[in-house]
Amino acid sequence: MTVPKVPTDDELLGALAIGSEEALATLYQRRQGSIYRFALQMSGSHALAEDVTQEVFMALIRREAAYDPSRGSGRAFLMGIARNQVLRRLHHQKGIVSLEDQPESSIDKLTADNGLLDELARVQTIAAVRRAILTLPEHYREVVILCELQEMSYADAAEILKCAMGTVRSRLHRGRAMLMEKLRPASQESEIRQEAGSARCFA
Amino acid sequence: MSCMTFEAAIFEIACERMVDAELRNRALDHCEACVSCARTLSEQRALTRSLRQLENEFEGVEAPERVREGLSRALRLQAPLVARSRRPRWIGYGAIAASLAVVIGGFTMRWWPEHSIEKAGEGSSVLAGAGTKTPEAPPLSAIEIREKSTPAPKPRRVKKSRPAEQAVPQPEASPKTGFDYGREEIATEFLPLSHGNPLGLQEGGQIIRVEVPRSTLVSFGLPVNLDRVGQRVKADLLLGVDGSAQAIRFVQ
Repeated sequence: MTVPKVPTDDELLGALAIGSEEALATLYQRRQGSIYRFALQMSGSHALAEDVTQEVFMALIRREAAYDPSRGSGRAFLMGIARNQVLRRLHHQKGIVSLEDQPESSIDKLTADNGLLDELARVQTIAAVRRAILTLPEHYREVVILCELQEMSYADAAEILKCAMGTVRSRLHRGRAMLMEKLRPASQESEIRQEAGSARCFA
Repeated sequence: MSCMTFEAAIFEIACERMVDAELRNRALDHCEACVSCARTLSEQRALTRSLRQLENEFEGVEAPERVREGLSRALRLQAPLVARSRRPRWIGYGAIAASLAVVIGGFTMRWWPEHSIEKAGEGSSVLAGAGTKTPEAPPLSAIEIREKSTPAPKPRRVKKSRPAEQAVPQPEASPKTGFDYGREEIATEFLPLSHGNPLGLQEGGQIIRVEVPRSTLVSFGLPVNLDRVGQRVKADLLLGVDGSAQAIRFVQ
């Protein structure tokens, strides 16, 4: 029995370059989710995420972006286009970070199940983390999203961000530290500062 | 291990990215001795759990169907756009030249009626432009965009009045005009041939339709699509009364 060969992203992008609509459909089916989620996580806006997803594939249709396999994976190529589109749009509407379109599942679901304190805590935590990520500076936010929420390796993230792996690593480190600061309750924050002044060891 | 070394590696331990087992063990040993670092590691692990929860929240989130529909529409519209963008640039310039030629031709016919097509039809001139009184710079007919319904009387008259042209090959095999009226034609300007003598057009001339290798375009500095270099392209040759080729224009 022969197993039908699943085309790789590279093959699909190659076919797309010579005008294959089928390749575009397959590629869209495969990658639209991660592109949409990335744009949504970066911006907090469903409308912007829709625009970005559409624009990524429009760029392929219009042949505005040429894929070179020697410069990285097809996935990184697509995410790179998405990242550029997101940043361009965020810069256009600088200062506006939408927090209104939270994931549908969270609070609405919870109200139907009163008393589930664990669930409440979970939902609140998720909402807080989401808000905290959206308030990170862009170059930390994108690294946290790519490496933590998109589960990309440092190498893939470095390809998308066009920087060194060491840079990705240090930005992730810093980004996580900033998240910690944002998520830490104010009371706990002062307590830790006091402790840090006295109990920090240098062993 | 110092706290500073621990801090450098803590987030990789917390999100289980670290592969160096020895460093991991040393870091965990350090946590047992340092309350502050133990707390930090605990917080980082909690952050990792929160991030995993957030990641799970987004699992299955996809672009709405309308995005795919929009792309499908765009794809359908895009095909003619791509085709249009591949049109040679000289056609755009040619269209401008055609407009100018129509205006200039109109003025010429209005102010020098004695040299108009009517007079040329009696026996001498084929082209109004070729029969003007400016032999130093014979205004070779520039570009013409012929619509389906547009008659082209000039070549037909010449064929009737010039017995010599019967010897000239007519690849289009149209007994009336030699032009394909069934579709829109776009032509370049008449380009003078190096061996031609513009003075020979004073007494008139004639146009014949021929096909030449597409590579001929190169010798006139026109762009050639390499994919179609082996094909032939239509051209109009402007012949003087002595039958010598004076100029050529390419037709699409």
